[in-house]
Amino acid sequence: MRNALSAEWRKLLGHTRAFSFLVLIFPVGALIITLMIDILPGLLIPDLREFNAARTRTWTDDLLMVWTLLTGFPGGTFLQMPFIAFIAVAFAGEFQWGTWKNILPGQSRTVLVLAKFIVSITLILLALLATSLIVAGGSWLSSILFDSSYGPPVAEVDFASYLPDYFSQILVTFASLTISAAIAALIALYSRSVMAAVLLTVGVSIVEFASILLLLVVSGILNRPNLVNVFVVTPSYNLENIRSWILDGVGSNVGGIPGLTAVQPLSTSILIVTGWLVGLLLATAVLFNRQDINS
Amino acid sequence: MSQNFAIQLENVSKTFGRRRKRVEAVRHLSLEVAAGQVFGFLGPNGAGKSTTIRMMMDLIRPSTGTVLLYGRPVQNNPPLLQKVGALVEGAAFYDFLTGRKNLEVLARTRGCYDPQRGQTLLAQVGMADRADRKVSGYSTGMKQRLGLAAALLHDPDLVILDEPTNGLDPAGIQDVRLFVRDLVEKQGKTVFLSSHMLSEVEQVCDQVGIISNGRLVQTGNVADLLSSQAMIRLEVLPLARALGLLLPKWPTVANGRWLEVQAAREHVPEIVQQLVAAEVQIFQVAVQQQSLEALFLAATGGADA
Ligand SMILES: Nc1ncnc2c1ncn2[C@@H]1O[C@H](COP(=O)(O)OP(=O)(O)OP(=O)(O)O)[C@@H](O)[C@H]1O
Ligand SMILES: [Mg+2]
Repeated sequence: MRNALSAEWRKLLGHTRAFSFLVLIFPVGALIITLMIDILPGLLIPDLREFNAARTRTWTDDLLMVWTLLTGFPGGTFLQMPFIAFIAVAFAGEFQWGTWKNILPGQSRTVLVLAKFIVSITLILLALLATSLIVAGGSWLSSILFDSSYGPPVAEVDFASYLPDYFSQILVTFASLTISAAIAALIALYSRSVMAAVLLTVGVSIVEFASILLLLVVSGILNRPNLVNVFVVTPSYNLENIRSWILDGVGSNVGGIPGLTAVQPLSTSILIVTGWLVGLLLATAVLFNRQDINS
Repeated sequence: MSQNFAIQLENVSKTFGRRRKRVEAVRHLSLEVAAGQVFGFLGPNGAGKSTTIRMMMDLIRPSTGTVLLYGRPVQNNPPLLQKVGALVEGAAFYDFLTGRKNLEVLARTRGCYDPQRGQTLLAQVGMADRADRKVSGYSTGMKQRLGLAAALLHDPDLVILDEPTNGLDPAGIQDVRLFVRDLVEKQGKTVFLSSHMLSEVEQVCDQVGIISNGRLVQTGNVADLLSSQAMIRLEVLPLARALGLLLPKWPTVANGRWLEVQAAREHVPEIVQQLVAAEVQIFQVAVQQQSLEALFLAATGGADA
């Protein structure tokens, strides 16, 4: 496994175009936005200077921002697209380049799939961590330049509530990303095409979330309101539910959707999300192990 | 268990597609390749060479039959394939990496990264001075050379090369020939080499198997194969009667005043006797040893194969 990981790491980092445009785009984008929209105009235009000075920002929010943006519908799905494309390149790319035939003999297919998955998810996670630091760092720089406040002081932060908040958000975003990534990997190996994998994965994410609407309609037609509760098996519901439990201490009924009564306990939701992830990865490995490599 | 066989194919078939798109790429192929020699796998385009090689590398699964390497089934057996290096159907690499980096990634995947060995191999295939350029700028021949190096990275016992000289210039072809002989003679490896170039096989291979339409039509020692089949030319009169006599037993064609008979040299007396008994007049008999090319065309059914 270690060999496969180190090979995959070098390969994906070596694909500078995909890595820059699909992964580094987040930290680099954050840097550019901070500089171009916040700091430079503030330095050049006096009016904006005052505006900036009057802003109150908190590093506690800044550190969380990118993670919150990436979950939620539909914004999160679209922001996740570059990452989905990166996963698709990692998996379907080997078909396009005709390179599976070089790496498969002598290495277990399951190990190769896992190595690709772990490396690409790790790179994405690191990019997101960098992004959140850049956002906070930019605000901090701007607070020094423009003499505004950048709170709260570390001594005043209630870490007992902030840390669970912070980590649960990261965890939920991470879980959501890995599930999208696993769907992308499965479709990429099945379709052998980067483009198909990106489009279909986004499609699946939308359908998965929108299934609540379908369920509402169907349950209305059949006059079986209980049918809506099927929604609680979806990754979307359970991720939302996990966040709700950790942050608010209660389960989520997704903003009070009529008929949604089967609110899950935290442990069940964690189990269901894990089940999806393991199931998808397993399906990917099984599919790949049965595949004929013709390219 | 016959450990001295590097490769054994037991009744291997592969069918692609279903119903009307069904293609029987390989049909009931059985073959044994002893270790320590160069085996030539000869066949026209579309004969099933690459499909067979992919099955040997566990890239595609046979529809029926088993592939054994060193006496063990190859399916789902990565450790066994660690002993095998291959260049399958046109070398392909990561375009976005340099030649050297490509070798590094492949070696790391197999857990045998050694920059020194990479450098040695790059020099051996004549790519040392171009190794630090991106593969996207390589010609077909350069990729093919890099592919040879990649096949040998982990010092395999068995080297499988699918049309290794594809896209190489004459000097490159000569290099590969010497390289292959060297692998077997000096390093004690086994080489399985597919080709549709007869001269190539004739010059480097010890044994040869001819495949056509997915079927193995001939196998044997190159020297024996060449002497077993001869072309016997006979100037006879009347031509038609002679043709009618010989045709049931030997492939025979009339060519001007000559009959051309495909038969072993040992059959010459019998042929002459038959003709004499039927009162055919014989003016000349000439026995020509066949070239592998003629043998190949005869075995694969000529140009229409
Ligand atoms: N993935 C596939 N799907 C359908 N048919 C295939 C596939 N791969 C190969 N074939 C068919 O199988 C037959 C054998 O192909 P193969 O590539 O093994 O031939 P080959 O002997 O290597 O030919 P060449 O000398 O041109 O390389 C051909 O008829 C080909 O069309
Ligand atoms: Mg071929």
